[in-house]
Amino acid sequence: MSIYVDGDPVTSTGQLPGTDVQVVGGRKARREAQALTQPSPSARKRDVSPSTPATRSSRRARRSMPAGRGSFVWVLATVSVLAFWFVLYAVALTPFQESHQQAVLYNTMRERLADQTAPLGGDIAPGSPVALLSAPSIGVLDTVVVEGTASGDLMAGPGHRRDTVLPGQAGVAVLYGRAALFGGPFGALASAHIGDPITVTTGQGVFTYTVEGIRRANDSFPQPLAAGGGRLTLVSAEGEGRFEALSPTGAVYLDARLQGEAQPSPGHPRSVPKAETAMQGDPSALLPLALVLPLLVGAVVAVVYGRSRWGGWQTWLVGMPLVLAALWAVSQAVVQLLPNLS
Amino acid sequence: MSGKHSSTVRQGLASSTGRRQTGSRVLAVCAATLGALSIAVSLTPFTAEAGGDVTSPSVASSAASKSVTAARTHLLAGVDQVVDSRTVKVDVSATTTLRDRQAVTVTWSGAHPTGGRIPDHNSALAAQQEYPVVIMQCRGTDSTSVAAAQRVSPQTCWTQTSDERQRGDATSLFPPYRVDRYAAASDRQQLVGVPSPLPKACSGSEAGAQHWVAFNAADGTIYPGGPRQGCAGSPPESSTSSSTFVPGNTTYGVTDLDGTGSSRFVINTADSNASLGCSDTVPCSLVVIPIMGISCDPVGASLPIDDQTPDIFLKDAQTRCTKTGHYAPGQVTDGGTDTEDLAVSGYLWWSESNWRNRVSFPLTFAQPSNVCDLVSSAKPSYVYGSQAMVQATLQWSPAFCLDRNLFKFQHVQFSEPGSRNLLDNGSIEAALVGGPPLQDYTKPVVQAPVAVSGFAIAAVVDNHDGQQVEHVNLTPRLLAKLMTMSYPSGVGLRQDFTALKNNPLDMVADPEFRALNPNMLEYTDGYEITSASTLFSVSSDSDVISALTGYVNADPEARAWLDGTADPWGMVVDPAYKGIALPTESWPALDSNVSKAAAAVNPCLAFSPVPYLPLVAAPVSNPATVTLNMQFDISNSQIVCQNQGLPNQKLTALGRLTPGRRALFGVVALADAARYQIPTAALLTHTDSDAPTKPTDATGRTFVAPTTASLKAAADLLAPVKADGTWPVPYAALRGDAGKDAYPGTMLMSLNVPTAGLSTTEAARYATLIQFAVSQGQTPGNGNGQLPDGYLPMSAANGLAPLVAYAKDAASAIRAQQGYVPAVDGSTRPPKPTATPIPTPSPLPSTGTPASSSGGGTTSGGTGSTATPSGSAQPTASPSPSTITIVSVGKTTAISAGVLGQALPALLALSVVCGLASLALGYRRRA
Repeated sequence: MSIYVDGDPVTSTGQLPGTDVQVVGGRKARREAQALTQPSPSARKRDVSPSTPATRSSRRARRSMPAGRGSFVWVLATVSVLAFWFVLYAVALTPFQESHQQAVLYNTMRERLADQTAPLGGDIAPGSPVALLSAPSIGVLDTVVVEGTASGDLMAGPGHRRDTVLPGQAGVAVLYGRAALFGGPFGALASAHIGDPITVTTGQGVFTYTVEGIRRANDSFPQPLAAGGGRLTLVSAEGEGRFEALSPTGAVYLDARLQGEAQPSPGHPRSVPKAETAMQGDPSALLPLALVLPLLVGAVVAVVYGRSRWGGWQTWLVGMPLVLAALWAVSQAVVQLLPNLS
Repeated sequence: MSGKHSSTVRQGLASSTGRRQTGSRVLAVCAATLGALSIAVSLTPFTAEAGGDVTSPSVASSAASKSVTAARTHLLAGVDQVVDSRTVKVDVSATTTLRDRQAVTVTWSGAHPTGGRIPDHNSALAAQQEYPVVIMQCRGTDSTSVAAAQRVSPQTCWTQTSDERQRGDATSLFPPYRVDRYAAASDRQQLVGVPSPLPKACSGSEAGAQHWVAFNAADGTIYPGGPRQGCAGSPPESSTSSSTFVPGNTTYGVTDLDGTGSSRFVINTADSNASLGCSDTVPCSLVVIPIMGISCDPVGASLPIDDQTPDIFLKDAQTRCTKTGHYAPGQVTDGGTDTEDLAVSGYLWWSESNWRNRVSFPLTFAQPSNVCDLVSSAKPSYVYGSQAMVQATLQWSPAFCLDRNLFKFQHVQFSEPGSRNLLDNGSIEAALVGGPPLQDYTKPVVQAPVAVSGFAIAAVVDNHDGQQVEHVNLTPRLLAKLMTMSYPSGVGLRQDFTALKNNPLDMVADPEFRALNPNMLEYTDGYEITSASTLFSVSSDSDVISALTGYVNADPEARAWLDGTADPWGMVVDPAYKGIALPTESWPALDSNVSKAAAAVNPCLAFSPVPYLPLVAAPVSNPATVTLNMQFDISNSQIVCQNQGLPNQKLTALGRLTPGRRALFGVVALADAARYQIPTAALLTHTDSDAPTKPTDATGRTFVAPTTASLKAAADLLAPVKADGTWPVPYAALRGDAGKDAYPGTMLMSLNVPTAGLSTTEAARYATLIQFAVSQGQTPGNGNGQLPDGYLPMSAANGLAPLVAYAKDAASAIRAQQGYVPAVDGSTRPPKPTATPIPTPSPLPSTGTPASSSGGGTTSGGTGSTATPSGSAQPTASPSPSTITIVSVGKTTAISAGVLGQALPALLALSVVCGLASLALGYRRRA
């Protein structure tokens, strides 16, 4: 009955391509030999060694000699596909996720603005919508800003750093936004020009800012604000070299000055955890990762088991959504570990 | 348990193994493909950069000269009969690294004199002239060594209208172009180039003998053209009538009686004519065809019998084909249509008898203006400022962005005073300006000289023969008259504006102008009265206006006239401008007279009365608009009522002036005038003490046109002024003997950069830019990194070594960022480098009042006050500049993404490597 304990589920996840590669490969090579020569499978079940009796033809011996190689190809291919999937997910699929979240958040924000229940300050729950941002020159049009700047918060759109005032209030309001993943709302940040308008709508009204400048590492901070003035600082990442969109190397800042009068602020948290500062990953994603990873492994094992027990197409029909959902959850948790501005 | 069951299992295994194997191969192949794809993608920029890295070779002189011997030889009764033979020599002023809208001069000698002249040589109508010299831009090379598709042919030559490339004759089956002895047999059929089936719009056009020359666009589209404004289709850039604002470049040049002629030809690149599509990668040629007339073969003995001329038509065909011209050489057209002899007209430029006489000049083009955006997406360093530097930075910036060791910089055209304000409040880091700041900077800023150029007064005036005047003299007083709206520009208006009732209607009618410029046409009526009443200029703040008003203000005659003294002929200043304080950075529109006479004939003005003379002036905010209008003789005076009487009636610009009756003046940058070959006026510098105050001619007065020599003479007069931090142009000295030959429009362009508060990278970049500008950037030429015409090279030979030395000191000060500004007279020494990078930018004392608020309202003409921000608007958001103090602030800290930032590229690489490995291993295993 050991035939059913196929090694493939483990390797196909790519998670443990370590020790039992030899064993699995051995079995696989053996099965090939069985398929060709049709000897009794039970007779060779424990025959791990690729060295063969002299009765085999030299051709068969050559085919089965690189015992590890067949499965190694498998492992490599799987790793390749999985790695590619992660990149594909991060670059091409996350924008859909962000777009969906934005649609939901926009409706919530609209309702709250109409009801005058939009948050104005204090301790706002992370992830809830706080403002509507429009900066046409960098391609941001009616984008909902959520509270909080952890990697997970920024998956839904630009985030408001919680230890700063809200936009429109006196002081410096800081918004973070991703440069490439999840639609990269702030990807074109550095292409803004001095004087470009930025409009922010919050529960306190509509505020217009004009861009004062772009800043990078070692550039001077803008001049201090006059008393009662307001500034908006947008922060995102930018990279260098061939994969600049994928690999952020530094942060870029856009400063904009509030035109007109600033509104008072009811207060805000004095500090934020490290995960909410620029370029940090969110280690709290390790917990969900630990939960969904076994789920993925389990789903794959179940599919493989089901295929031989139940039948091919039934298993695919039921199993594939399961596997995909688990894979998606794993991918999201992994991306959450990456820097929040990328 | 054993037998049956195990065999089932075995079969299942076998098939599943087979599937797996296939599956793994598919996976491996997929991964490898994707991997290869991503490698290819990642390598692509390399290839592109390598391709774009070639710097164009600089050619010392790009002028060219060629000649051709052209003959008109009929074949009559089997015998050659030479009617005319001429050797035509053609010169072109520039043929390499051309840019869009650049003008080149084509001159020729030895051609047949032109008859039936038409004033506008660029109009479609001009094709009917007899014996013109046709100049056109054609895609392709005129060489048999290239593929046929890349050769010049009539089908690749641009004409603005389809009428210029088709002839049809419903009355005769054998018009001259059908009996052209050199034409191929296929071109001598009854219908040539007429598409079959005929488009509906063309129905009826196939009557008689037709010859249509299609246009083959760069993208491969073929436009057959045809009569009725191209019924079978013409390129989108073509126009259906000849009266467009910007004319086509096809020129039907006029040859004078001595066989010579010249013409200004405007080059179009793919930027402005995509169908023609000339660019640095698509070669084009300038084709010059001296029209000699058709060499006739009325019989066509060698042709198929259907195309031979039957005896009954023979006499008529021969008579029409051998005609030598309806008009005498030099005669002006009588205005009739179809009066010209077709056989010698410009219409038949494509007929082989004319086409074979062509002279072709291969043209090369500069890289397109967006080359820097194409080679690199890196963020540029922005330099804001003067239009007068645009032509130079256009050539400098590709030299920077195409050099991997340098960087990308971008010149944003912006008003100079506005740029200075932005620089002062820290919004920008570098400003290109044309003079010292009216108010001192509130932080340490060095003004590094980078070029000597200036402004020019564009003067497009025709003489009493309808020919363009090459030399126009202007005095500061005449400029003041134009600028102060003191010409009433109409008889009725003169009666309305009582203060101006003794003034001449326009400048060309002004006795002062006529005394200094003989042979001007006396205008009776028409648009030119309006256009000759004003100086087309910018409404925004500008250093050019500062320089111009500085020049006017320094002239005692002009100043006295502005203060209310009538000129010797009795003309007075518009009271609104009486005593105006000069110089000023922006010219105000002050006249407020509403004209009843104008309202009586202009429904727009009757409906909503507005002051009339500001409409005539109609300044615009963007100096590039002035340049464009001057290049194509377009008046911007907003006095034409469009859609009269309708709800949507509105005032629009006068438009293009009729060649032969032009009088148009404007303020342009010197380098723009040089690039686009805009005629410029000579300006008064010196008046002899014994010169009459009421002159009858130019005796005793020195007028200087902008040339390299006159710029050099002006550069010799430059002396450093420590308080200004630069070398201002001494207008008073221009009036003395020393300044006799100096061009008064000279301006010293400088790059202003703070010497404190910039990041090390940016500071190094601007320092590099300045060092480049005063060294390699001063090499004259049209190539990348060179200095175009219209600038005086800053060299020791031109006496500008101190300025170059100062610019290099300035570059060092910018690089050091220690708040040190070297003194222009060399009276200070740079500080020793210290450990602290920012020693001085603590609060600095402030002086004076804000600079740009003088002058007030700019445009009320209702035209150009649109998109481009006018300089003074920008800094108002910040507190008044006089109260700004620079506070020492911290630097933005560098934040690294760490190793996780590289996760995605690493995963991609892993995918590629594993995919390739599995493919390789899987492939070997299968083998």
